[in-house]
Amino acid sequence: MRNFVVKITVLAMLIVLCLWQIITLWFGDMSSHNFLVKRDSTHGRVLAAPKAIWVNIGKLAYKIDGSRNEYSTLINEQKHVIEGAVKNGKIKTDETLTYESLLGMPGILYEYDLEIGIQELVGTGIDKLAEDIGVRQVFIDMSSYNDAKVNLYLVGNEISSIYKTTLYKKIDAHQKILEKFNNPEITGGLMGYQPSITSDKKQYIRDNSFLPLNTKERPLEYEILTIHNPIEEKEGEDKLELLESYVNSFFANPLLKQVDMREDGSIIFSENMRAIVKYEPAGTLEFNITSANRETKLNAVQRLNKVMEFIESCSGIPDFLKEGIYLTQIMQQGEEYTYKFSYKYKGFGVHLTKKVKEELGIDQILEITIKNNQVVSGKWSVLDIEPAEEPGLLKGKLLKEYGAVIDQVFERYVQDKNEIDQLDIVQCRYIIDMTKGKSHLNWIVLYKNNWYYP
Amino acid sequence: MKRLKNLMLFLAFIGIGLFGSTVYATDVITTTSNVKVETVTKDDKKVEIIVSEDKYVRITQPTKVNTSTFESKMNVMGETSQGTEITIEVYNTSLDKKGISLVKNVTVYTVKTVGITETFNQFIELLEGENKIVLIYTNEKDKKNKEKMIFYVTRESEEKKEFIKTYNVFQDSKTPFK
Repeated sequence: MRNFVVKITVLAMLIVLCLWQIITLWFGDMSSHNFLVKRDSTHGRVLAAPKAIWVNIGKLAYKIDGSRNEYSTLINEQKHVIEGAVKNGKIKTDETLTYESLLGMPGILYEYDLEIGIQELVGTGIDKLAEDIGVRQVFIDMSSYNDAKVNLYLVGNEISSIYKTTLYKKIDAHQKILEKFNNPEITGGLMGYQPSITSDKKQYIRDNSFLPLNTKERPLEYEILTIHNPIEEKEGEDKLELLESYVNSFFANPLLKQVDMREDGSIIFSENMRAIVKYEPAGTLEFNITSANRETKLNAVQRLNKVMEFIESCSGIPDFLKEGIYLTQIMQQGEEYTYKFSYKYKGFGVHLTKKVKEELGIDQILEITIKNNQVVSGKWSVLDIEPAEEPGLLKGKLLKEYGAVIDQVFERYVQDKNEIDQLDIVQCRYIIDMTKGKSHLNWIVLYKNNWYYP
Repeated sequence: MKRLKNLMLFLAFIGIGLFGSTVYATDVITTTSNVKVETVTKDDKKVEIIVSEDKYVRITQPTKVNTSTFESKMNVMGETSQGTEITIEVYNTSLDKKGISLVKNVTVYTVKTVGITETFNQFIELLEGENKIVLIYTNEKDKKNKEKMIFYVTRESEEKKEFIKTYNVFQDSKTPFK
C-alpha cells in the first residue's frame, strides 16, 4: 500500500512537470521555443544609427570606420548599456560636469544627427524613467572599467545639460576598442581628430565639431566616390526589368500593374490607384500608397520601428543606402510624420549640394512618411554611390588644415570677428554636386543657415 | 722646455675636463626653457598657459613647461598676432650613461601664417623620451625676428604605461597586498 502511494505521488509529479514544460514551451515567457506569440519586431534592430562613433583617448579622438565589424559590435553593446540604464531608471542630471571635461575622459562617444528620445534609441518603452530624455550624444566613460563600472552620459541638444548614470556591466568590446586605440603602433597610421571644444578655435565653433589633424606631410586620405544612375545606363527592356525589380514589392499583383512611360523619361507604375510608384530619370524613386482608413495611433518608437521595417524590406532602396543611412530629421504635419535620412560612407557624411537636391527634388537622400499605422509615401535617390575603380582615381588627399579653413571662412564671410560669431558646423564630408561624376572629401561649413565649401 | 710642455699638457687636460661636453656640441641639448607659465581666466575658469618671454605668443596646449604624456602625438595650440610666421622644431633626445642629452631625431614643422582668428595649431609626432620643442616666431610688423620659445614634452615608455595599468589593477582589487 505504501509503495503504491509513493508510485502515484511520483507519477503525479512527473505529469505536473510535463504539463508545466508544455505550457512553458508553448505559452511561456522568454523561451525561444515560444512560437505562438509574435516576437517583438524591434528585437535586434537598431532604430537610430549614429552619424559617427568616436574613440576618445583623452586629448585626441579617433573615428570608427562604419564598414568595420567593430561598428555593429559597439552599437549592440551600447544599446545593451542604455537598456540597462532605462531599466534601473537612475538617470540624473550631472551639474558638476561640463561637456569639455567629458571629452577629456577615455571612452566612446556616439553622435546622432538629431535629438531623439531615449526610448527611440533603444526601441523600448521608458519603463521606470520619470521623463523621456532627449539624446543627441551618448558617451560611455571607461575610466573606471577596472572596477567593472561604466558611466553612461547622455547629452541633448544643449551640451550644458548632461545626464549620468553608473552601471556595473561588462562591455568587453568597448574596452578592447579603447585599448586598441591606446596602442601607438595602431594609431600611428590613423588620422587623429581634435574636438573643437578643447581646441584653439573653441570660441569660433558652436558646441563641438571633431576636426581632423591632417597636415601637408600627413594628409587625410580618402576613397574617391563615383556617382551615377544605374537605371539610365540601361535601355528598353533591360531598363524596365531593372526598374521592376525595384518597384514590384509595392504591388499586390505586380503582373497586373500599369506602366506609363512619359516623354520626359519618367516612368509611372500603378495598381488600381492603390499604389503609385514614379521613377524620375534624374535618379529618384517616389511612391504613394492610399492611406489606411482605420486610425491606429502609434507612439514614437512604433512609428520609427515601422519606418525602419519598411526600409529593411523595401527592394527599391539600394542595399548600400540601407547600410549607411542615419536619421537626420523628423517632421510632423498633421497626422503625417516624415523621417529624413542622410547617408555616410566609411564614417564620413555624404552631403548633397542645393543644386543636386533641386535636380533630384529631395531634401535628404531618403525620406519616408508614415500616417496612422502605415507608411504612405517616400522618395529617395537611386544613384549609385561607390568607390571609383579607375586607376589613379582610387585615393584622394585632403591637405587643407582646420585652422586654415576657419580663418578663411572668417576672412571671407564674417564681417566682424570681434562679434565672435560662431560657425555652426565645421566638418569633412563627401560633397555631391552633380548626379553623375566624382565625389571628393572636402571641408564644409554651416554658418547662419548657409553652407560654405572653403 | 719640458716644464712648458708639461704645463701645456696640464692645461689641455683641464680644458677637456671643463669643456668636455662641448665635444658633443652638435648633439647635445641643454634642458633650459625660456617660457613662463601664467594663469588666465577663460570661460570663468582659471587655466594655465605658457607664454613667451615677451608675452607675444601664448601656448594653450601643452600647458606646462615640462609635460609628461603616454600619447605619441600632440596638437600644439596657441595664440598670437595675425601675420606671424611660426616654425616648430622638435628635438627628440635621450640621456646617455653620463646623463648627457643626445639628439636622436629632429623634425621641423612650418605652421601656416597666423590668420584672422589669431590662433594656430600644429600636430606633432612625439618619440619616446624627452622632446624639446623650439617654437620660432617672426612678425615683421611687430618687429619680432626669429624669437624662440622652448618647452618640453616627455613621452613615457610603453613599459611604464603597462606597469601603471597593472599597478592600478592591483590597487583597485581587494588583494592581500593592499
